[in-house]
Amino acid sequence: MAMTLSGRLQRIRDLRSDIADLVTQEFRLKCRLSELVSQRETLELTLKAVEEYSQVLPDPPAGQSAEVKV
Amino acid sequence: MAITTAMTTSFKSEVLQALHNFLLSGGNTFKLALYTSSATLGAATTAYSATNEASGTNYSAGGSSLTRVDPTTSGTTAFTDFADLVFSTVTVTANGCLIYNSTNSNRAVSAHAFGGDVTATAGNLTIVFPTPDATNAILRIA
Repeated sequence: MAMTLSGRLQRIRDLRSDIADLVTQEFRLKCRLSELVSQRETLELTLKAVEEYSQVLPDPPAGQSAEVKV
Repeated sequence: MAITTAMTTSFKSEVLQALHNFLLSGGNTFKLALYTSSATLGAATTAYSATNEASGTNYSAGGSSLTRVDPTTSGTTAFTDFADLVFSTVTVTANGCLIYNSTNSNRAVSAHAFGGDVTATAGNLTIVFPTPDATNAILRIA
């Protein structure tokens, strides 16, 4: 069944709206990806700092034993 | 409240009643329990009690079993001994101990004062028994 001119125009408007939504979603996803990359870098720096700190920590103190004569 | 080193009076009587057997093979199980300075132990103690027993990491109520040594004699003195006892990797403070017969109603054998608090912190607490001879052995009948 042939689409009327007004129908074709409406279809075009709907497609443009869909495209606009997709562009918006793409922008949001890129922003989120950027945040995640930033968080990963922060975590990697923290992990590196913890590893360096743990290397300079002294060994845990040895147990204190006792002996008693009865 | 204090811990006084003594062979318990009840033990002396019970020996005459054949209620304690120290033989390495087939003897009774004797245990050593640790106590805090709040405990009262001495000649009048008749049995093991958990009251004021020491507590801490890797220390179990009732203490640990002792390894018996066959009784023997020297001159006119009879005596017996135990292997040194190690409470391994404990965190505990004790002021004295009680040796008792866990096979026979937890009857008390002897109380021993440490002369002060002894503490092990994530380490071994070793109970060292004296030289097993007629004048030093842990349990002697002269």
